Amino acid sequence: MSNVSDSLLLKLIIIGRSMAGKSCILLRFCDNKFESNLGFTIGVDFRFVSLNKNDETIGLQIWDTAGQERFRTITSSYYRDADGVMIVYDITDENSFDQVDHWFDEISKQAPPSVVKILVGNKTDLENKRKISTERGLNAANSRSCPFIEVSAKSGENVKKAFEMLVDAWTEKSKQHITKPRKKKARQKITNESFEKKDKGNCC
Amino acid sequence: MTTNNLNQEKEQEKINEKEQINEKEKEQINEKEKEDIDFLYSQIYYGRQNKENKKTENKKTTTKKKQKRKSTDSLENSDEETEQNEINPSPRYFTPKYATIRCYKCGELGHIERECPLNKYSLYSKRNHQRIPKSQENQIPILPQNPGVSSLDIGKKFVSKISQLQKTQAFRFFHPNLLESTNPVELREKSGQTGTISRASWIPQIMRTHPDLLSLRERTRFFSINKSFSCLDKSSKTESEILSSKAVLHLVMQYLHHLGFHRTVNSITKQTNIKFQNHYSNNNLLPDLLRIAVQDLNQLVKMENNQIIENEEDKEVEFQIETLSKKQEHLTIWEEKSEGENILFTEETRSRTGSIRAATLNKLIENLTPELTVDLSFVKTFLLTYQSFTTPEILFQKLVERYNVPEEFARKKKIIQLRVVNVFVLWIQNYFSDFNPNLLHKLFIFSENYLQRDGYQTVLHILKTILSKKFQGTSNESEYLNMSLPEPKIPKNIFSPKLTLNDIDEEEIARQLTLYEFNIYKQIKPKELLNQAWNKQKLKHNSPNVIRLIERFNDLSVWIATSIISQIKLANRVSMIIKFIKIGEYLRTMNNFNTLMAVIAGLNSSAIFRLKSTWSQVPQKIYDIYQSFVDLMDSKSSYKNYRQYLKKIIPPCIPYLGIFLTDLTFTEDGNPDKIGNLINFFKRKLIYDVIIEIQQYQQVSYNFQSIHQIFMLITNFQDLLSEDQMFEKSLKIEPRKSQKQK
Repeated sequence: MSNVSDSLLLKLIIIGRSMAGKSCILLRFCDNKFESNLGFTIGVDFRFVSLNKNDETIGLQIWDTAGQERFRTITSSYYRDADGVMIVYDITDENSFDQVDHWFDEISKQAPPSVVKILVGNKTDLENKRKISTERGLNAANSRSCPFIEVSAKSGENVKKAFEMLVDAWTEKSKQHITKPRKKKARQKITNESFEKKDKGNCC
Repeated sequence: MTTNNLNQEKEQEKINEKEQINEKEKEQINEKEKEDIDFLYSQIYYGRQNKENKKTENKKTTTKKKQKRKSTDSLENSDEETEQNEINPSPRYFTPKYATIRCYKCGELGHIERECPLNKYSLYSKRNHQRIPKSQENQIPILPQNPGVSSLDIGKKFVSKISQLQKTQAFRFFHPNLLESTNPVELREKSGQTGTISRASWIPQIMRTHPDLLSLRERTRFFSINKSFSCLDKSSKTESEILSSKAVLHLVMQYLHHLGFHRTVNSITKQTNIKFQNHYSNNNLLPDLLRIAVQDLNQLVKMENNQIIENEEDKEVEFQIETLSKKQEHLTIWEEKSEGENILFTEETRSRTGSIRAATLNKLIENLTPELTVDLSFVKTFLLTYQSFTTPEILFQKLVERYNVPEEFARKKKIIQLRVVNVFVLWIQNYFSDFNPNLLHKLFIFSENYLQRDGYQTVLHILKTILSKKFQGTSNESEYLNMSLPEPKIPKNIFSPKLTLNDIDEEEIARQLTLYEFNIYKQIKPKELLNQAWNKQKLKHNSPNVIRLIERFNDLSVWIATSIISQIKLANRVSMIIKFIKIGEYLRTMNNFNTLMAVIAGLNSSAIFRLKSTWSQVPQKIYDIYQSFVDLMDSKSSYKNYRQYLKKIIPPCIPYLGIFLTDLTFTEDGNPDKIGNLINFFKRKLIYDVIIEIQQYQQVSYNFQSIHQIFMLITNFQDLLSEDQMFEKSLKIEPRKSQKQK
């Protein structure tokens, strides 16, 4: 943890219909012991992960709505200072895919314009129960011009890759905007004084 | 009267004899068993007051006295006891087809419950058979015969009569003397038992002799068809409230009002003196009613046919259970091998005393009722979480199985049997809502036949005492009344119909908010938190209070945002924001984090957050307070700040429910339900740890006075805006500045 103090820190959130497997993706990504019989005890810091990318360490602070989906009013406020959003649906569940559009709308309303998105179809291990074809997922992602990937939280397939793609998209976008990558310290300052800063500037 | 006295004397003798027998039995019981009985006793008077424990000795004698009194009260009671004696010992009945099946009722091998010979001697069928003519004379004139009374009045009386009966229905198993005061017609209709006088023949007989009853029955047919909802789940307070005759009338009036029949509504109000209030938004009586109805529909249908409800769990759980232990259910506890693959202990301690990591259901039951020392924390964990891998019915069946110790283990028979009763006692004490009427019936059969047969008179009395206590629903709330209540801060215009939020002190608002939310929080049952029920469409009905608390949370934050956005003047908006921040501050001092979170969510909603010029008018001091809430409830590092803060506080407290739900979700998803073919008990232990924390805060109530007018103001929200509407309004009040400046 200490070695990431000077590096980039991104705040990511994972959203999607309840039971789409959001927590499983996070569990798989944070701790590969997922399969072990002993299972998990929830640590305070386990939603913090560091990724190595091009000799640079990127800290990922992941916020997950698992279990709290019904608290409609709090989820919206967490979009506000997010750097990246992962939208998860279940390839075996038509309803979870129907909600994808709703999530995209929500993001465009609530999140800052600089936010990057990725669409993730989960549960490729249940290929025989698949209801949403890869093409449909890809089309939905293309229409919103964001990357797309199918993963399996159960087997671990592509889970790490999904997060890497999201980080890649972020670096790409930040280059385009020619904004310097924010450092962790600076970032913290922003959150603490977010109100004053934004106050001086413009409305969202 | 003289015969009565004679009977009473006879009975007294009988009781004396019985007590003598009890004494003898007591002496026979060896030390280990005594421990168990002491434990049972302590369970009766189990409560928060430790003083009680000291008094246990005295109370033992008082319960005896009470029982004496009870039995002298009614003659029938003694009859019944002799009946029971006639039945025992149980007769045998054997068909080769059921050679390996053990009957619940008598415990013999070779037949199923339905064919049990005990049915012929079934307690109530015999009782009814003897008593119907007697009670027929006494009971029937109770019903109204007054020709001058309007049909509505009769209907009302009938409804209340029925609801009375429904209440007593649940007592049927354990309060035989209560049966005497109820109408046998109704009883027989509901219990559906077959005596020698069939229902078909004796109802017409009565109708012939009492034509007024016949006409009444026809007029109130609607009400009498309505079967006893309230007897399905006695534990839930809301149901009896919802289904009171007054509430039904409210629904009727609401419907009439909806159709525009205002005059009818008024005349009903005149006749019944029940005023009709139109609840617009928040009082969702009908949805609540429907929820209960859907949940209980199957049960009702089954009760109608007098079938045994095998399993009223949701299919999803059923399926899980099926896959979990298909084999095990056919294998009895005593047939399963004692060692090897059927149980796994935690790696550190492989000894017999080590905690169980995973095991078959049989092994778990065995560990629940061991011959050696009981691991109380294991029993508690099991009883709290067992519904995630089995059903109350199966658990009951397994416990009875365990109770029937085969002959080859006769040496440890008594100790195991007492352990089983211990588990029953703990189960009833803590999770009485797990028992549906059918299971209660089985429990009754078990205790009346088995405990009686094996001579556990004392234990039987204890079990009955606990059950009757549970039925009476004695609450512990009285102990808070002694504490000094803080003086409520009541505004001068409290009775004014124009009372608004601005008139009321922030502290008082915070108190009323806290009272309301704690009342919901307090009612959350462990069952609601298993299997992520609150998030699953199919299991949603299992978590009514969790969902109610979340809905309340959402409504409250929308209401806060609406109240602010509805103020057209900037100064009013600023004072509104300040007011809510102050309320939040009081909520924090009251340790009400759930409501605090809702306040933050309201202030933080996009429509409010973007009102820059409003926020800039909020004084820095107040803004700092708001910022400190946000920091406290920050989701960073899995709510690290908040979790640390929560550890230090002194209850009463309402923790933020969402975090527990997230923890439960991760524990459920991160751990497999079973290891190989074994039930993963370690996972249940982890879930138990979370739920026990939720329960821990349910214990201590807030000591505030509820004030109706303020209460209505903060619960009966009207004209809540949708998110889009709020954002629209927000844009109107403070239009977006031109994009140039950006």
